[in-house]
Amino acid sequence: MIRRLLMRIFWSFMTLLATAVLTFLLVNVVPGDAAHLIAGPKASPEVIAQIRETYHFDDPLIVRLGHYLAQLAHGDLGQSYVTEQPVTQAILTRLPTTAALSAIAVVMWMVIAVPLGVLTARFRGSWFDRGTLIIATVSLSLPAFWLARMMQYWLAYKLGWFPVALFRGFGHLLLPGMVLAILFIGYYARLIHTNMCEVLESDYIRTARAKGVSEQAVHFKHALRNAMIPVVTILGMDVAGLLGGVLFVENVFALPGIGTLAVQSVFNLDVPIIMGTVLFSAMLVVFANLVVDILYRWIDPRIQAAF
Amino acid sequence: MIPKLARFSIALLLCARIALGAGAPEGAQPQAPKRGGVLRLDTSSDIHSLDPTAIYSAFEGIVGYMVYRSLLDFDQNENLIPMLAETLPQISADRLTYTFPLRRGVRFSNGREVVADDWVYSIERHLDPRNNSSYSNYYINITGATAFKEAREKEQLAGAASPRAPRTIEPKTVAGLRAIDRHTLQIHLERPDAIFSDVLATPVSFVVPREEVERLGGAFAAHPVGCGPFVLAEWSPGRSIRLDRNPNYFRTGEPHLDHVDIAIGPDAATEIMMFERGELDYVPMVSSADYLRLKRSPTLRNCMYPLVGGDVIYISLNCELPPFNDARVRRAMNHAVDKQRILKTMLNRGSVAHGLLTPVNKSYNEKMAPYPYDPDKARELLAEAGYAKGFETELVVAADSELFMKAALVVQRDLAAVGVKVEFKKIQGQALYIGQKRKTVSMEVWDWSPNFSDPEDTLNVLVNGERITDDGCNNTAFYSSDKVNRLFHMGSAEFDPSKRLRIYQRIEEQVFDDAPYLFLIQVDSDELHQPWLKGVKPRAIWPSRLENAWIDR
Amino acid sequence: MGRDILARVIYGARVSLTVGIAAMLVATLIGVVIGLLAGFYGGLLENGLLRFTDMNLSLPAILLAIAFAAVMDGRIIHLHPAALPWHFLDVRLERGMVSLFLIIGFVSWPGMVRVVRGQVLEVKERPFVEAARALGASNTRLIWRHVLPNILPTIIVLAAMNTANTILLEAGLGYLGIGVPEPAATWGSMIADGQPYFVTAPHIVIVPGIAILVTVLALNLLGQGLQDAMETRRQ
Repeated sequence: MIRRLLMRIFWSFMTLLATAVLTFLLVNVVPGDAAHLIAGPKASPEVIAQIRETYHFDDPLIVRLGHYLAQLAHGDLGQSYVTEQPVTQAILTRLPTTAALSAIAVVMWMVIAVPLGVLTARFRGSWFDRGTLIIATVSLSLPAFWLARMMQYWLAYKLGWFPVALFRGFGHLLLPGMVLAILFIGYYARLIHTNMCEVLESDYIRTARAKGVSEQAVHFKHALRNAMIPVVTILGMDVAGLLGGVLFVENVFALPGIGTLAVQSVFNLDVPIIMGTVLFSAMLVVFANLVVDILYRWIDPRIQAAF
Repeated sequence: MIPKLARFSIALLLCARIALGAGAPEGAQPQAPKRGGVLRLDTSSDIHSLDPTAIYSAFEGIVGYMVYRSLLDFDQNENLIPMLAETLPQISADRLTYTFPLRRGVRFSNGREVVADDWVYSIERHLDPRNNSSYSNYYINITGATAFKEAREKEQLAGAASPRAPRTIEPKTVAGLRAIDRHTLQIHLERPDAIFSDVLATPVSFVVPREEVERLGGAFAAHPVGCGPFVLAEWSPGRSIRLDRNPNYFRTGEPHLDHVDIAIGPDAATEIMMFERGELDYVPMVSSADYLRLKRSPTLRNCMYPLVGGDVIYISLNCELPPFNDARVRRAMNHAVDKQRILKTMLNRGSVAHGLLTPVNKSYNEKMAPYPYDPDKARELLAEAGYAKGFETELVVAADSELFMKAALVVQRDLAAVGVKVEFKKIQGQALYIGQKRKTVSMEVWDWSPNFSDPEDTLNVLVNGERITDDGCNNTAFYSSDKVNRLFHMGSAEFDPSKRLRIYQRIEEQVFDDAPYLFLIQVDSDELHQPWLKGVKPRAIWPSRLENAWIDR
Repeated sequence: MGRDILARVIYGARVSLTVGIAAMLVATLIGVVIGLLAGFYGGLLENGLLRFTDMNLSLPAILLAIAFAAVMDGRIIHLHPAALPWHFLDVRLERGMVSLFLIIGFVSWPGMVRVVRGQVLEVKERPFVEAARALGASNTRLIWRHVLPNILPTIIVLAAMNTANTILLEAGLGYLGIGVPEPAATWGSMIADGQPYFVTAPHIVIVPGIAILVTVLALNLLGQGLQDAMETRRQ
């Protein structure tokens, strides 16, 4: 068990390493303009030469990769080209906003997706089930930025039920959270539905029914618990997808989170920040996967999770 | 100093402006300012630096005016008034010596009193090449400034990269900058300069404390210390800026506001929705898309305050790179584009430009007509220049400006009709300001807001061939004409107002002929103030001044 | 004004759909090849490929696409050593339809691999495959003649749903302004361009968004329908 765990951690680390190398290569293929970017519009050739030295721009790619990885090991993601703020700091100051937004969204969609999934499994094949399927598919097909704008326009601007933008208090995260929730509700409702259906066919449930356990208890106590396990796994892996939606929602509502940072950095050609955000999200995903995997095996030791 | 005619027309403009905004409840009755309250503003992109050597964008100017003060200032009629100087300067008979008695009791936000030496230091900063000031040209006419600058350049080449390094090469000071005593500043110029006082009323003359600049070094740009009504309390890059009242401000009772909160990030649509919902107090410019809708709304129309545009939107045509090195091609460009159509997309609020000046500039010649829209003539000129088959070119355009994009699209279509294929290069944010444009950029959409109404300001920057530099040059057409350069020399020394006007009009006429820019339009727009925002000082040139505003709710 | 928008939306469909489908082809090609190799050969290869896929899965697609797009600023990559002037090996990284669908394809293939692999594993065990192998068929022949045709239905379903995804990604990149450059109209960039007018004329943003929604929804429903059809056929 311990050995498996260590193997898992080792592979996670390798994944991160490989991601770092990949990201580095991606963005640093030609470093030409970077010195000018950092120096600013009016720098003299001497200043630019000095910058090239400090940042080792003229060294061969391998050497620069080495420097980069060494820095990474110290938790140093470099400095923004534009503001000279350390990238790590830039990301960490924005993390709470993104985390709060995501947490609110997850709670919102789970609260609706779980009952929906259970009930549609219970009443499988009914109009309710089919209707939910259609709505779920619609939810997956919505473009995030469009939904955000629509809801901002109708619910905040026209009806005034929510503030239009900015993060001035937790109330400001409600509408953005709702937008995110709507984007993912469909997927999770169907996922729970499918898992519930599968579990309900299993021997375990047949035994419970044979023992005379009530339908209610069968569904909610026994089946649900088993159905939720893969959901938790998917939730962990879905951090990547969630970040994608978060990016657009933060943009529309002008929330100071990691998403806005990523978008701004692209426009500013701020390479360290772009790399830093990609790497950081990869780290989050890998970490989330690891945690979920461990929990999964701990919750249900019967299951031999294939690595 | 402002000629009577110009003063009259500007006053007329302002009356028109106040009359148009007459729906506002402010009217003629001034109310007593209320103390306390927060002003909420927003900006779509972050500011870069609050160091007076680097303040560039209009928004940086707004924040600059909150944190700093200048030697002189302009009142609502564009007249010069003293600010940190006690009175307007005494100017010697030969017009070369300016003596400024300084106000006493003005303190920086760190508590120390502002003295004449601080001005000497602040101006020297612009001249020291190691500070990379965009504004050294404004002070280069001071006696000894050039020698000072060259001495510092030599020190830099010798390895003293920081402006804090001890000065070793003579001259160690600028001969013409003298602190006669604690409260008297004297400046001596090489040549008479008609707009020198005007320059001292702009952000170029913001005063900074030496000890704070030296202590903070490069970080000063993000942690400015000045003697203005507010102090920068917090700047979270890309997120927000907060300004707090400066308890040491020299005008007791001011500022009225407790804080200013600036949100960084909302785009145009979010901004207007926020304003209409009361989440913002001020919007510097209403987009033409919203204009009619706001005008029709009984509540919102009272929030609108019209502004005559001080800037011309233009496309620079790099005169050093083919094909724009041929004046015929440049004139062809001006004939090929239907500028009235661009204006129509702005609901016709403004006018088609015949040059780089607008009605707010003193020498604006309303008798000059713009290039007529004549695609046939354009083709003729192109054929004459040897481009009968047209050519391909790249246009750099700032992607987040709705106005620039609209103009660019019309230009692209019209130029295609005469055989010129234009490809866009959209850039945003920081990328707008970098790059060696001289060798690489042929066409760029841009505009220039003057700092004051004298035409020398705008024209010097945009068409003075002697001010061209390789990097960070605003004369992005890289245009240099001997005749125009000579006229500039004449103009800067000419104090007689009507003679000045004539000189600059002649410059405009030559520039019109040479067409180094594709002159587009000048746009009028509106500011938005919430009904509870009072005390905003409108100005014809810069955006309005907000430091003395108050919230009345 | 209304007819104008509709016309633009239809015109924009051309670009959006082209990029979406092209990206899907790229993603499918990569995903299927990797899934096939992993499932068929097993062992170390499978392990390595799966790890590689997982690694790619952990990178949020949109962020990666943004990072790629940021690099596309007209720079030229010299794939040849400086000494040899083989300029045909120079690649110019510019924003355009080709680079866009390549980017989107490169970030969306990981989702397909596991499913394809799973199917390959299943088909591999079927009796007729065993029989063919017993008759001495080579691996290549097995793959081409026996495995591939049988996983084709799965691939088609995946392709449908992947296209839905790529269209959403393309719209997202277009919205951020890093998709296909002007004056080509795509639904995403139409929404972005319409934003300053949005409050006064909301339909400028509503209509292209509905176009995206309807197209993606149709593709998703198609995929689901096909999937159901396949399952009932199997039973």
